[in-house]
Amino acid sequence: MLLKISLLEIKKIEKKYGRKTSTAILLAIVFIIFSAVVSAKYGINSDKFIYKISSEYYIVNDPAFIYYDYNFGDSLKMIKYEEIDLYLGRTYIVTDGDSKSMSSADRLINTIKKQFEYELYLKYGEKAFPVLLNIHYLRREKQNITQIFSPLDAEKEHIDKNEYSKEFPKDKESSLNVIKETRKEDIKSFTILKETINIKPTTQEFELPSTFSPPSLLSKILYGFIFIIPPYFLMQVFASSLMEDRISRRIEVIIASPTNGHKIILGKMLPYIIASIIFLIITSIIFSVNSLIYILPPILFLFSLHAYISSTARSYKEMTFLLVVLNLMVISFLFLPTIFSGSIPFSKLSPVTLLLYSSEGEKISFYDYLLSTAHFLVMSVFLFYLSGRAMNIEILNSNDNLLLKTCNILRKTLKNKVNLLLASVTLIPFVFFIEFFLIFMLFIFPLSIALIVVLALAAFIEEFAKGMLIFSSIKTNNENNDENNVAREKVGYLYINAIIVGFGFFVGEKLLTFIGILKDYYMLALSNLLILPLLLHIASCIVFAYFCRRNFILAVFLASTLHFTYNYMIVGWYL
Amino acid sequence: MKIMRTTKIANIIKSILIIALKDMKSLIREKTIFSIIFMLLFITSFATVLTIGILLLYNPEIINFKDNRDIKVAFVGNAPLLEKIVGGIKYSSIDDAMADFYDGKVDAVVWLPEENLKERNVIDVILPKDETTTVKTILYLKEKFIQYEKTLRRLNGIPPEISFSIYNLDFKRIHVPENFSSVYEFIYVVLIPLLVLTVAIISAGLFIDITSEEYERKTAYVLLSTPVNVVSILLGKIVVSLSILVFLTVFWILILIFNGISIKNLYLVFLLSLSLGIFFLSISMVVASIFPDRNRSQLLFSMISVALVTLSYISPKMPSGLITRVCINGYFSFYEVLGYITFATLTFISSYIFSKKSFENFLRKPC
Repeated sequence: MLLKISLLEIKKIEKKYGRKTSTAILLAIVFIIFSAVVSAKYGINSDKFIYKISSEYYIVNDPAFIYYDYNFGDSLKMIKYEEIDLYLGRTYIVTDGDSKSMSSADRLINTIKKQFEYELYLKYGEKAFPVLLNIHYLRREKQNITQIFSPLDAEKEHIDKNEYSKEFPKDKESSLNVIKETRKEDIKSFTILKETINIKPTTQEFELPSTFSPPSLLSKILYGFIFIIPPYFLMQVFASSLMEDRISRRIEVIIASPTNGHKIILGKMLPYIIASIIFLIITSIIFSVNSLIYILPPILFLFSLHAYISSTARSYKEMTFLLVVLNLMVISFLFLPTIFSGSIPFSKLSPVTLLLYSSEGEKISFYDYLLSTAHFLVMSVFLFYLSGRAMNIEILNSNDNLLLKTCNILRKTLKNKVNLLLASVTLIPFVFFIEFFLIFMLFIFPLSIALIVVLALAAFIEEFAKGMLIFSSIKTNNENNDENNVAREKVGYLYINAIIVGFGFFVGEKLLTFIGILKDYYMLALSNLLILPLLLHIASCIVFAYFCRRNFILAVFLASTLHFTYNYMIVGWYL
Repeated sequence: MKIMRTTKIANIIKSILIIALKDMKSLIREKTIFSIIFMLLFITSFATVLTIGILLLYNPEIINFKDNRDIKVAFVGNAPLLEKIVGGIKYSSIDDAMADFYDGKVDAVVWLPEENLKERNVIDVILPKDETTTVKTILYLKEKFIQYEKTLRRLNGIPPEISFSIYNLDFKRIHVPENFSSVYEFIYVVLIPLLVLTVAIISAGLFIDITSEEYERKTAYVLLSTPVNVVSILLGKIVVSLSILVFLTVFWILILIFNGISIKNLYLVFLLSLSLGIFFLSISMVVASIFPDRNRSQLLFSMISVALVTLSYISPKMPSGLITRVCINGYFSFYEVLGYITFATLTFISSYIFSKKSFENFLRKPC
């Protein structure tokens, strides 16, 4: 039956995407490739002619600047009236101190320095660059985050002398040998990039002191997009196809056939996933990197997400906008850690980071691979399961919003305590995914306030997720699914479900600890304490269960308050 | 006659507004508009994280990380001048230094076996990978190595550096943070054009969704059985898209102003955003009229949009370049903006004529 559904989907695509459409798509692909090639060749040039300066002494080789021919006196007037941004004197720069003029001054100084080094090279040759740096980044034992927050405590930390001997660790010898070997090579010459007057040593990866900067894969990010964007189009077609079948009610015919919801979803998804895999294999061969193992888990997650949203959205509009937002969040989750790789440990949360490291020849451990992909795989399976359960005529045609529909689907799924326990364990990657974005708070607020905001929001997210499970687990005889009017239920079952959810969530959290995901965030995960987190989760779930009979939002708020109070006390104790 | 004509026009306008209100109510009921608002807030927050993150790479103190430890550097080799500048803990052999490096007792190892004051010096620098102190260590060492390079240049009769002092209009010296321009330019060269293009694409994509839904649900035929014609339906959908475009443009401008990002030539930025929105709307109208189902039309529109967004950054004359120059008050001519407005208007008129004919043709077919 699964294959039949897949074949039906392929036939549908063939029928829909006839000659006219195929031609149009082909032209669009050619257009995309053309734009990619042109962009790669010319780069970003939209920063030209943005600064207006005047100078009687110099003309600097930077297209960002437009020169005006004013004398000193007139220039000052022009700066005051914001007609120009700065005046470049013989050894000084005059600006009006606002952001734009400061930016133009900074860029000007950088350009002048580059030009100066170029002139030095022309006059003195390689003697102008008496210092070359051979940088080696080596992995060593994980740093304890308490060293960041409590440097004094870190110094008091006991170091086991048996563990850390004065003898050079044998497994690190190879790194040292590489460092010693590279010293034997001579630098042959410099390369001058005339267009940008950048001077770089040609041999190996040497740096000049002026160009020595923190490592970043920022320049390689676009490389990562090549693997993600094309399957994204396939996901779009899949989601549209599923939604189209819902609107035209064709899906009801398939549901009536001897099959189940999961086979329907998988059957419809399969041709697109196979096409994505083929694409990943081809790009892996072209770029000589194994993109399949790194990119497939997030691709599967995105497909499941598209399946779920297109199964539950009420209209095309709702589906489009929800998917745009969620896709943006997933793309951010994939690429933001990569941008700061090399400087910050959590960069390995993203499989794109591992892909780029792998493309640079670095070996990736199974532990790192598991760290970056396990949560995607778990979320894919969960969403796929829910999508299959959504293949129910009542749910498909319901006009409820996404949250209520999710509750209804969960209600049909959580038939016994084991399902409830598994669901609460599986919540963890979703909660973790959303909590990842709390990092934004650290950059928006001052650190002291940010910490409180992060703790409060983390508590709310976790309690909301648990609350939805508990709420959904209540079997109702009432046809009215209004959250404020929960049907009567034996009070005992409600609290038992609450305890199960609390326990399951705790188990999921500690599973993360066991595979070391949160080892670096020791304090924030509170991983060393077992009894207290267990009691907290159970207590907050019971609080929710007690109040949810009156009001869902009130229940979440009160449970979150308890959770936040606990977090705040524990964090305060550690600090 | 005049009165009849006026009444006819009034009826058409009324029909257009009824169609537009119907779709707007649906947007509000489904709370779709809130997901768009959330997305814009997310993009601006994400950009804030990115810009501060980029600054962090050059200046970790910016987010007040309480890393108050001094940087401990292991120094190996016979290089008195470098040793004096870098400071640090002297080690007799690289093996001992590396052992302590792996123990975490030092943050970096600097190795120069033999100093040469006349010729080139190749210094090995060993740093930890993926650690939070790496950035601070690099910035510390960078300053020392630059100082070392200047000293060697001076010793060899080479000018060590060029320096400029920066003054404000009161002739007081001011300090410009390092790499300030990277952050500033990221906002005006990348973020603001991205917001303009995103809003334009979303509004245009909305047109495809609300049009294809009428077609696929066959509600277009129901509408045509009322005193509403194809022109009213089409224009009603256009009004919805343009309304969302205007609303979202005002919204992101306000968010940026609220965050202290100044936007010059506000009315020109608004007109440019509107023009780009109309341009993308024209494309979506043509695509939706050729492929009335959502599946094909959204796919093609997305592909075309991705290509156009990529191309828009390659030249200062392209949309992103012009938006940057206008909102930063760089060098631009009003005629460039007028050119885009004219181009968008002409594109819209031709797309409207084309899509009106196409919609009329396929809606004439029995459902």
